[in-house]
Amino acid sequence: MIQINYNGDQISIDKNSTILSAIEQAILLRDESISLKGIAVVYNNKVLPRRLWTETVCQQSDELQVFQAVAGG
Amino acid sequence: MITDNDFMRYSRQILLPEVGEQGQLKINKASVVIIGVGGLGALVAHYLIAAGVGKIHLFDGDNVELSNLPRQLLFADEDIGQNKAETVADKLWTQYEKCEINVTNKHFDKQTLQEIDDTASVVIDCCDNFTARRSINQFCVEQEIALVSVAVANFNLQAMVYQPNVSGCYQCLYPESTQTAENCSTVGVLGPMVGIAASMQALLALKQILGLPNISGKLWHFDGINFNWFAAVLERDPECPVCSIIKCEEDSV
Repeated sequence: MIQINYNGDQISIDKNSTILSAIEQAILLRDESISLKGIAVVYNNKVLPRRLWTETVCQQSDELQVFQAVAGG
Repeated sequence: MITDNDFMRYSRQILLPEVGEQGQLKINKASVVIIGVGGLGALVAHYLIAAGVGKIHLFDGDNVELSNLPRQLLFADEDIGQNKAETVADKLWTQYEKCEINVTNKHFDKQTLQEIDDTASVVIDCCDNFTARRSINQFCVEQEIALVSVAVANFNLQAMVYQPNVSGCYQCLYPESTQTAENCSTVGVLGPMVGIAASMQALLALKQILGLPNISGKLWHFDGINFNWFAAVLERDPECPVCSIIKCEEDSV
């Protein structure tokens, strides 16, 4: 297991988890109801393009911020 | 030259070293396009016209509804059923006669896109769905016009500025594979959240008109529940189908 910061909280996830897997684990741990089709991901202070969510592997102490996409005006 | 009356009217703006008389003249000469004239757009239009923006084009095909009134402050009960863009134009023109206000009272699509003045100083995206937001972004990238894109729903606010050839674009943030987005009619919103978002959007637009440093290359996010702000770097995605064909300044350094 490794520790990452997810939306301000420390959580433990499996070693060698991709970003997508880390988010799925965090959603389960936190019992959140977020649709993966409608989120944006900030990885270590950079917006991470969606196509890289399955290519990027989380490291110890990484920071992830995940939030719902909004389009309201 | 600024007239004596305008000098007095805009004196608190001119007083700012970042604005001054030259800056005020830039504001007066600016042409601005606002797409979506609901919660964000009506407030942004009001701020920009009051600040002296010379020409504004408002796009909206929606009519005023009862549920709009708690946050869309220019509208009153008697406006229900009237087109939003026309109503805002009428009300603001009564108050600020100097501004040239043009209206397109249709839903935003590829046809109405053709009506956008391609010499506009800035396009301000205030609409309420991904499809329109992506189309507006594509237009701005292709026409090399700055885009101020702000969105709000529930307690989430997101803001970014696209500056041609400098930063990532809206599509880099939300590619086609991001399929769902919340808006005020699906998850609700409080009026002041819209007010914060619109004030920020108007400020970003004025900074763009004045040529002041802007927030391009960053996505700003505000969480109104925990009162947290954060900025994330928004780089150009080299595989973005919209802006990757445009050469960035940073690439040529």
